[in-house]
Amino acid sequence: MTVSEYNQCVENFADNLFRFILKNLRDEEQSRDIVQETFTKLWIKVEDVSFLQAKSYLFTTGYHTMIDWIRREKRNADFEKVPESSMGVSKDQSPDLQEILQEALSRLPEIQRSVIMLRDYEGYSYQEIGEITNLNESQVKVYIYRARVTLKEYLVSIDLVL
Amino acid sequence: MKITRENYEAYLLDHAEGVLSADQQAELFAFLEVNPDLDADFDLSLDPIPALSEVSSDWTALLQTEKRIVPDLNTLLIAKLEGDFEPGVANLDFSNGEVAKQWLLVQRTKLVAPAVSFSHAASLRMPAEITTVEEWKAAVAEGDLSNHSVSVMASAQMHAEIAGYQAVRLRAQTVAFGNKSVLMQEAKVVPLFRRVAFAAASIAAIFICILVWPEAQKQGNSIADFARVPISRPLPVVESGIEETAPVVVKEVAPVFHYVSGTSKKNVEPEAAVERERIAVLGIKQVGSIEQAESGRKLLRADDIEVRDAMLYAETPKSQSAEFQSLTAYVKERAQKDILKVEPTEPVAVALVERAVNKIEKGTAGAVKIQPSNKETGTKFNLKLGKLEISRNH
Repeated sequence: MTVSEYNQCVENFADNLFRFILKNLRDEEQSRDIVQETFTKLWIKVEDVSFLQAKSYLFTTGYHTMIDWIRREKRNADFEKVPESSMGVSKDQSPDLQEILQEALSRLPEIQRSVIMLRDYEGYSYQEIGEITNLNESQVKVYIYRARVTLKEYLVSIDLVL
Repeated sequence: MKITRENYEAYLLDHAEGVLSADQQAELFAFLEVNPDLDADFDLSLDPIPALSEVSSDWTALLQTEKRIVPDLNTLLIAKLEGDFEPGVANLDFSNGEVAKQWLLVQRTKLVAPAVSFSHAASLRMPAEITTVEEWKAAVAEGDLSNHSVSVMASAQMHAEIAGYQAVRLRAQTVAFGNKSVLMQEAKVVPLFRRVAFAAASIAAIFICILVWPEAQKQGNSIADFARVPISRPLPVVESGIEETAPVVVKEVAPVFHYVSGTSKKNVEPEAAVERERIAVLGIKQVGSIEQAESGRKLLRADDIEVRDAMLYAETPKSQSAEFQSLTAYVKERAQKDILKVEPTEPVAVALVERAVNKIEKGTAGAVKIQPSNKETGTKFNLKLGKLEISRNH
């Protein structure tokens, strides 16, 4: 990968990676540090990683850096730390539903939250998610299934939808 | 086969179905006698197993209850949402109210990516002049990327490598040359006719200056406008590691004296903060890049030829110069991306830059910094040029 392609990766993927980490950690400063550390690792391997592999490399490295940090810190940050402006609101769904979904998302186990975000936010296949998270395709599928059932039950439980 | 605690359940089932021989039944009963704790299992095995025809209607009814159907329906609906192959998906009846309701709920679990912006992306980009990791390490070691986040996020291993680079930098040694007196020239006797010629030439030069001076005053920005004020500073150590033998004289800016040239290069001492700020301002004019100008080290101290070029540049109307337009575009871009999050109008951006450049011309400006909005102070746009601060409030 050339320096120009590296800079293109910053342009294309920094926001997505930051969103992925931020939604998991719910700590803006730490998420920023992990994104920076991840891009540093990419830069150090800039000659070994092709441009086509870069996104996958970034998410894999970012995910594992995040997991390492979670295990090291053993803490569960407060969701309210994230400023509202950072969370955004979907164009297609009402703000209320988005808030509810975000709340439900925050209650999911870490692995379920990660796989469903990689699936929905980034559009990764089961296989790609498996490569990022070190799971096999069946495990990914099961975690996504469980995450959707939990989200659905949460929507029902608050009696907001339908 | 001998009946054991591992295989007795198979014998129990065979007994319940009536397929055990008499010998096997006897063996089973003997086994249960010595294993009384398994009697309960034996009792259960005696319950008759109902035929399918006897229970079909009841089981069908059970399958219709919500508790039984919802997990299966979830699997099918989630498979449909994910685009997975599942045989039952094609048979889903969405005209059924319950199925339609569950389908709507499952659809709503699809997350929509919120717009999250990583505001520090600029710090991750590599400057164009860095083309390899080795160059990057060297630049970090030299302090050229001191404001670059990537440079400080390096791993422990990287820090060790960078420290290695820094360790091999040469440091100046103080060495005194003891025979200076040998090198000094004796005073020479100048013949009278040479003295006369020198005096005549001096008078002619003064006369020419008197003639030229009023015209230069009319045009402005001539070399006569520049007051040359020496600034005494500690002896700087330049990158070559050679200590300079005399204080560097820095010519005062009024308005332009130091600028950037693409052909000749000379490092500016990092300790010379005043000079660096001044050069940064002029660097903005010359290269239109605040980031480059702020670094200072990449910019140059002017020599006499560069001064003349700078004077020519100073006579160009700023609003028409490429540098001014570049700076205007830069301010607009920064304002849009980092500060206002919106596109500032052309007049606003131009007005900001005009004011900034005017202040630069008066020599009151230093390094340029554009700061993001501050909700506490209500500042929406903040352009800092040394002591000058230009703000737009909410």
